[in-house]
Amino acid sequence: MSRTSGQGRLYSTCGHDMWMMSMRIGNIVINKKRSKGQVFIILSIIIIMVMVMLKTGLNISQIMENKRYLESGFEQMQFQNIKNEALKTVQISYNKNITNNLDSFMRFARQITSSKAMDLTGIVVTASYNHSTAPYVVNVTMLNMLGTEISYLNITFNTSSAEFTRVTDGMIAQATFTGNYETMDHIMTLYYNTSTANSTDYVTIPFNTGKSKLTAFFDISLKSDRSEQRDVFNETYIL
Amino acid sequence: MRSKGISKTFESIVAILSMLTVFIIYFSAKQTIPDFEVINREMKAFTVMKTLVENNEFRQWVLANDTEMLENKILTMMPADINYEIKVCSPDCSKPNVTSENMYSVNYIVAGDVKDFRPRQIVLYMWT
Repeated sequence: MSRTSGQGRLYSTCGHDMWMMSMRIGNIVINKKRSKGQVFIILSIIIIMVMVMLKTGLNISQIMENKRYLESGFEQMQFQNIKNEALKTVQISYNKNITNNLDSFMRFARQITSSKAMDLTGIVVTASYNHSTAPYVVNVTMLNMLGTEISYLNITFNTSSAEFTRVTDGMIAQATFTGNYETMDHIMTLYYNTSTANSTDYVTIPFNTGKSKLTAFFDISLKSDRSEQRDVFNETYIL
Repeated sequence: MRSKGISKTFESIVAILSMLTVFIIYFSAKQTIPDFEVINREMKAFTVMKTLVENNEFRQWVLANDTEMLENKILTMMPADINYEIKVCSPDCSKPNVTSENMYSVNYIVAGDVKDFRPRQIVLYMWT
């Protein structure tokens, strides 16, 4: 194949005899005599399409989403660990400093989670009564670990209520209710407001005359950049 | 003839420029493929500790700060291709004296027991 023209030399530098081909792409037929420049443009379009298809096929956003899902699942496992051990704290305390032990545990858990860039917040309530004759005495404590001050707190049990103002983060509010309670499930209502929200929690206290019981109530959440876990749960123990 | 050659050269330059433009715009955003290895190892380590803590004997080792027994138990259930160190602390653990930049850790909280209430954390450090 002799190439004596300037054009021949120009394209031969590419190392391919592309200009000798007659190309058909879709309905476009590229004439071998007039197509030397267009071949480059068409090839570039093909290469660009291949690159775009490769990148689309890789789908990094989906992979990232899968990773976030895994990380969120891991945080859920850590939250479950805190819930289990909080209940374990109540069990091992066995009517000895339950409030202090719970307070200590929750502060500990909060410290650990904050070192992992997670924020553990919520409220922890205990309600206990001892076997005695009427009138019965129910002791209630509420630990504020919302990370902010509770400006107003109202605890209502049966027909009585106790009010508190300015319960700071980490502070324990204590109330005592006395009455002739019947053997049945009583609902204790906690209404509180902070600078950002109002909230109401209902705690079921199974009251049995002649028995001593403790109910621990948790409304806690674990937040991070990736997820937010929240759970409201309670357990009642016979003392 | 000469002007035809120039136009072909121009077309090829346009083709190269268009490719480069797309390449730069579409591929310049830095997107690294996420690493699943760390999160998978963390979840594995956490699950191992959770399973073991459910056994009361293991809980006693935690409370007694018996890291040798803990290591023996935990490491038999973990892959052997990386390095581990276990610490039990309340609350802060000092990091192992290791220079690896690729070190990560998993914490597991343990509430204590009837005799010794103090909560602890087991920290499993892992590095390559």
